[in-house]
Amino acid sequence: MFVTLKDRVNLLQTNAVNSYRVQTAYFFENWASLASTTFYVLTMLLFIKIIYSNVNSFAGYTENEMFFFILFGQLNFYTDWIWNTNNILSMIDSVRSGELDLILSKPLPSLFFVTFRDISLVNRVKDGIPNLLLIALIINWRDIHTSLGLVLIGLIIFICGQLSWHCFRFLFALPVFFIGQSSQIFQISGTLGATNDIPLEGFTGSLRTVFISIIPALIAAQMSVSVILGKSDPIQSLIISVLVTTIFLILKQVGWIIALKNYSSASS
Amino acid sequence: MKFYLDIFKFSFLEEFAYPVEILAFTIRKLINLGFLILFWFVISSSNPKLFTFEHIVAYFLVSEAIQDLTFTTGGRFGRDIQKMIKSGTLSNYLVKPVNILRFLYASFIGGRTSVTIYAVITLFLGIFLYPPKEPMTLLLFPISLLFTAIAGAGINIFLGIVGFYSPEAGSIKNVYEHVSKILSGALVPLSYFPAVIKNIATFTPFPVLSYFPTSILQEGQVNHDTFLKLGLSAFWAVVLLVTSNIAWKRALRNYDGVGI
Repeated sequence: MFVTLKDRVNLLQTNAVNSYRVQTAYFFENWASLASTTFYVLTMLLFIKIIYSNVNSFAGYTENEMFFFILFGQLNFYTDWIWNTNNILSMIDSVRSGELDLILSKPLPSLFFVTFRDISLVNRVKDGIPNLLLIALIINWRDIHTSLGLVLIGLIIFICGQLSWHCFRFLFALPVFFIGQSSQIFQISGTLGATNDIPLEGFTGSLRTVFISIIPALIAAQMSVSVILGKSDPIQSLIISVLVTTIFLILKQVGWIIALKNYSSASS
Repeated sequence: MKFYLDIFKFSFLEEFAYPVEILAFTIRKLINLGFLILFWFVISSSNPKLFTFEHIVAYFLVSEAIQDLTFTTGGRFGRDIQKMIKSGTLSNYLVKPVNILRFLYASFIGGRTSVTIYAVITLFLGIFLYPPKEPMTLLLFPISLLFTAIAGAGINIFLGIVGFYSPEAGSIKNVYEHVSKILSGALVPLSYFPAVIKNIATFTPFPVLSYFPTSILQEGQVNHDTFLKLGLSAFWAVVLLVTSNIAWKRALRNYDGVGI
């Protein structure tokens, strides 16, 4: 099926509008969600303060650099929350309920649709912006030594990290096509990404290699921050992140094709 | 009592009907523990004078075990109550001639047997890595654990009660989880807190959930500080249990009973 770029943009727009309607239906939960994320950020900042009241440096990071790292960690979290995890969970549900039949029968690029089905932009921006601003205000920007080139490379690495992490988690959801359930396996993949308070430099040797190339959890936040702060070689990091992302995008595509071949509709 | 034991047994058998869930849970716990240990390993590598690595690993093993053994982790019992209120299934229990809170709690802990087994293993591992220097602490530790379980149950009931007033109360539980994680000493032992924050945290119920029992077990001696921790634990256990039960009875009067 031939699908133009315009079709895909229209599909994204429709999904985003639909998500907005769903998100704004629950008033109390919306504000409680903001409170929850704000408390998370406040406790993280308190955590950093407590750690640095005992130590001067953590994995070579000063307190200010650690706040910058937390900022990127949160940016990574909110970006992921906008498009990644919720869509994979929806896909697991749609396979189990047989709703995927409907998606497959429509003239849509099915993989694209299940990847971007729910764009939770409004709620995440509402939750994210105040918290990101709060962290940004705490950072002493004069002590962040970087350059425009490093920031640009860092942002590309960040995008690569988001994509590779999405593909990795997507692969963990595919067992639903074979055994009818994958929620627990999918949750394990999420736990593997719970590295958000340890900078890249805290991972050494083979542990770092594994958490970049096999489990791409360190690319989006850790590697991009390390590059922006001039602690890692930017070109080498860029090449690694692009390479890992390309491999994971291919794996996702191949995994999807194999999974669909094994799909036996739950509703038929 | 036998009735509640039967409820416990039923949930126990139900839990073991899903071995993959138990395996996945264990893997997740081990990964989380691994990251926590890695975090402190990184700190101890660059600051070797601050603490010994064995001590800090033992602290987190015992601290996690306490949270799991007393079911205080993440306010899950409270979340379950909230779900029952939201879905209306609470009505099914209200019409039965049982003490509903005891019934739900027995059912909840019965379904957490794998967590308990994991917690017992980590507790013994923590004790093995950093054995208590004072034998008396081995006697005081179970008492403090009991106070933690009661205080934790009280907090969970309060979290559940929020569900009576707002069906969309999931995020409130998350707020509790974030605050509790740091102030209970689950992320950083309270002894490393700056004095002001430590003093404030000490008089909240949060350290009862993890730091007090852990430090009672690992302290080198039994002194005034030990009994202060035990006294505060007892105080919060009584206050939270009594007030949560009163609040529960009041909240039930506001229950609309969706699903009846």
